[in-house]
Amino acid sequence: MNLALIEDPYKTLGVKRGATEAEIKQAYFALVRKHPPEHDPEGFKRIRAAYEKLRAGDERAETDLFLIDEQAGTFNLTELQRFNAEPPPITPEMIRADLIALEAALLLEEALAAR
Amino acid sequence: MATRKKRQKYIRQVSPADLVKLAEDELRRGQVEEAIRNLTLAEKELKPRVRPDGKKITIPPHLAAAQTSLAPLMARALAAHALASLAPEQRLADFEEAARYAPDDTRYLLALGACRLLMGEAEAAYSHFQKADDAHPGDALVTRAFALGLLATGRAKEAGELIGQTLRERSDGAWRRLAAIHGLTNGGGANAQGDRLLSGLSHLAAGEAERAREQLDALPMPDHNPSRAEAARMATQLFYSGAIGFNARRYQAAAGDWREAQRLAQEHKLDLPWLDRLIAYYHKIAELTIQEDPALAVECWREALKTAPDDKAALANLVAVKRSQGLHAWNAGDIRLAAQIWLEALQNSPQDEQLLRCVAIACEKQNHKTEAVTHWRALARVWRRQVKSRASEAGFKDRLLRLEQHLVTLMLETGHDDQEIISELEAALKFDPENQKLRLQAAERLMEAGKSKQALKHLDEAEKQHGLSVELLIRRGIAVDMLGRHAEARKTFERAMHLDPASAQARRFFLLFLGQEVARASERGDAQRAMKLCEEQLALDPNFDQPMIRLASLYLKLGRKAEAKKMVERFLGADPDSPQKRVEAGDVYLDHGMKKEAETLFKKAIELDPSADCFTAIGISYLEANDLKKAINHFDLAAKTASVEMLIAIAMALTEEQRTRDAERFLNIAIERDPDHPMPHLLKGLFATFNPILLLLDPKRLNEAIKELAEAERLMTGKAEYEGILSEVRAARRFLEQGPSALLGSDNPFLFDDDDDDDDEPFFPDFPPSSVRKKKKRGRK
Repeated sequence: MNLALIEDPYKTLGVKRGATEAEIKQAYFALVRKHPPEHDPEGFKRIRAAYEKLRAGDERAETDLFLIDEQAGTFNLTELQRFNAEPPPITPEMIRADLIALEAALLLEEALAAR
Repeated sequence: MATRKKRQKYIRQVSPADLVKLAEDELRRGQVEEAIRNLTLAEKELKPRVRPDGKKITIPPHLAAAQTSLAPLMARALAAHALASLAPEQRLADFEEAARYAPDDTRYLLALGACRLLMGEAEAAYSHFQKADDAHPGDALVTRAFALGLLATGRAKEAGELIGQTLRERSDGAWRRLAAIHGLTNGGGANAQGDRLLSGLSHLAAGEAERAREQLDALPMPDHNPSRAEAARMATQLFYSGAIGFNARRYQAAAGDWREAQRLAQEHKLDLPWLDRLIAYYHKIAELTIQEDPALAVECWREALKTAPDDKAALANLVAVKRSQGLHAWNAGDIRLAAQIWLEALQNSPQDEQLLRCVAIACEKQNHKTEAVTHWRALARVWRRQVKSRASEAGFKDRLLRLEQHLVTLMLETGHDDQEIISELEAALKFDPENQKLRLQAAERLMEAGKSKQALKHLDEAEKQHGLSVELLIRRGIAVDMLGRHAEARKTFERAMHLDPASAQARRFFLLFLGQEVARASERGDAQRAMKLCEEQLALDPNFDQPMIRLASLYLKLGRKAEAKKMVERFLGADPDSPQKRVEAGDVYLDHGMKKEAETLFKKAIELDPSADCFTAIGISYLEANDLKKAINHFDLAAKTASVEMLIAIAMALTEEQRTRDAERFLNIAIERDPDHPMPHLLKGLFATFNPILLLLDPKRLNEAIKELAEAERLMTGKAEYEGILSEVRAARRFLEQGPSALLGSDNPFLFDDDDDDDDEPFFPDFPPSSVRKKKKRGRK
C-alpha cells in the first residue's frame, strides 16, 4: 500500500463510491472511447490504472480501505441536521418567570445561610 | 470485603455519641456524604427501643444529648447534600428528607418551596411558603417567600398589597425587587430603583433592547470569586446580554456571554430555567454561521453538547464539519492537522467508521504506526459487529478481510505482543471461519508464541474445512515437533513430501527438521544416529552443505579422518571461492586439534577475503580453541578496518571467555572510531561490573563504570532505537551510584545466576548477531 500515491479512482472514472461492477465497467468503457490510447496515451493510462484499482475484489477492497473519501467528507448544507426547536422569543412573561426563579435561587441561599 | 467487615466491626465499637460528634466535624469540613453515613449509623443505635413486654427502653443519659442533636444535624447535612447536587429531583428529595428531620425548622420549608419554584411547580412552592408563614407569621424571610409564592402563582392583587405594605414599613432591596417583578406582572414598567439587572430586563420586557443592553452592560462584574447568589444574578444577566446580542446578530458575543453564564451556573450548581433554552440558541447560531464562521458553529455545537450530551443533531453536525475541515487540511497536504481534526471529531463520535479510517490512514502516513494500529483495531471491531447486518453490502467482507490482513501486518511491524495478534486473528476467524489464510496465520502466530497445542486445533479445523495440503502438513509438522512429538513430526513431513514430491517447500522444511534431529542426536551423544540423519539429508539434497560439514565433524569425532577430509572437500568443492566455508571447515579441524589443516584453510580464506569479518571469524575460532594469542592477533588485524559493530562483537566474544581487559581494548578502539556510539560505553560500564569484588576493592574502577554508563545514557537519550534499554541503563547507573555496599546486596542486578536465565538479559543489549554467535549455535558436538 502506498498511501502517498493514492489517487481517487472513483473520481477518475466519475462513479460513486458504492458503484456496482457493471457501473464501473460502463464508465470505464465510456472513458476509453473518449480517450483512446492512440490519441491520448496518458489519459488512457490514468483511466486504466483507476479501473484496475476498482475491478478485482481484492484490489477494490484495498482501494476502499485506504482511500480518503472526498465525497463523504464534504460538508453539505442540505445534510445539516436542524434542531427541533427555535429559540423562544423574549417575552415579558419569560422575563418575569426568570426573575421569579432568580428570586427563588436567592431565597434558597438566604434561607440556608441563616443556619 | 475483609476491609469492609473490619470497618463495620470498628464502627460498632464506636459510641453513637462519638459518631454524631464525628459527623459534626465532617460537616464542618465539607465531608457531607461521610457525615450522612455516620449519622445514619448513629441513628440506628439511638432509635427508641421497646422491650418484649412493651415498655420503652430509656436511652442512657450520656446518649441523650447525641439523640437530641442528631436530627437537626442530619437535616443540615441533607441540605448541604442538596446544594451540592445539580439534579433538581435529587435536590428536592434531600430537602424533603431534611424537612422530615427538622419539621419545625421553616428554613427547610422555604428551601423546599424555592426548589419547587425552580422546577416550575409554582402551586406546590406556594403551599410550602404558606405552611412556613402559618408556622412563623411575621418572620421577614418567610413573609418574603410567601410574597414570592403569591407572585409566582398569579395572585397579583394579594402580592401587590403585601409588597406595598412591607415597603411602606421598610425599604429593602429584596422587597424592591419583588415590587419590580410585580410591576412586570401588571404589564407596566417595573420600578427597578437602581437595580441595573431589573432595570435592564424591564426595558427588555418593554421592547427597548438597546436600553436594556446599556443597563446590562453597565453591570459591574465582581473582581472576587462570586458567592452563589452573586453568581446567579451574573449568570442571568449574561444570559439576557447574550439573548440581546443574538437578536442583534452579534453571534460571537452572544455565544461568549452564554458560555460564561453556563460556566457560572455549572460552577455554582445553579439550576436556572433559562439554561434549557441555550441549546436552541446554540443550534440557531451554528446553523446561521456554518458557512461564514464554521469555527463558531463548531463551538456552538460543542456547547450544546455540554448542556445535553445526547443531542444527536449537534453531534452529527459537529462531526460532519470536523470531517470536512479534516478533509480540507488533507487536500492541502497538511496531514498532521487533518489527523488532529479527525481525532477531535472521533472523540465525539468514537464509533464513526469513516473517521476511524481517516485517522488511521493519516497516522500511517505520518509513520505513527502504533497509533494507526489503535484506530484500525477500533474499525475492525466496528465492522466485525456489522458483519451480519451488512452481509448484502457489496465488497464489505472483502474490505474487512483486507483490513484484518493489514492490521496483522502492522501489528507485526510495530512489535505487538503475539497474544494480541492472535486475538486479532481469532476475532477475524469468528466472522470468516473458513478463511484458510487467516487460520494458517493464526496457527503460525500461536506456534511463535509457543502455543503449539492451540495451533494444532486451528490446523485440525483447516484440515476439516479444506482437506490436506502441503502448507498445512508443514505447519502441523512444526507444531508437533515443538511439542516434542518428533516421530510424528517426521511422519507429517514425509506425508507432505509424499503429497507433492515436487514441492520445494516440503523438501526444505523436511531438511530443516532433519537438521534439528541431527542436533538432538548430537546432544544425546548419539553420533551414529546423527550421521545417519546427515546422510539422509544428503540423500534428499546432495548439494545441501549443512549436513556435509556436520558429517565431517562427526567423522572426526569418531576418528575417521579420511572420510572427514573427503567430506570437507565435498563441502568446499560446492563453492570453491567461499572464504566463509573455509573458515567454517578450518574451525571444524581446529575443534578436533588438526591445527595445520585449519591454518591452511584460514590462510586460503584470508587470501580470498582479507576483510575484518574474515579475521574476526578466524579469531573467534582460535578463541574457542583456547588459542588466545592467535585469536588476539586476528582480532588486531580485524580491528584495523573493523566497524564499531564488529569491534563490539570482538569485545563480547572476548568477554564470554572472561577476557574483559582485552575486550576493553577493543571497545576503546570502537570509541575512538565513533565517539557518539553509546554501545561501547555501555559495554565498558557493564563489563566492569562483572567482577563486583574488583569494583569493591578499586573505587576508581567503580567510578569509571559509572562514568561510562552515564555517557552511554547521554548518547542514547532522544534516540528512538535505544528507547527500550535507556531506562535499564539508567537504573544500572543509579545502582552503581549507591556505592560499593550495594554491590554486596542481594538485589544487585550485576550478580548473575549461572543458569543464564532471561532475567539477566536486559543488561546485555540485544546486539546484531555476528559470526561469533552463529558459530556457537551450530551445535557441533
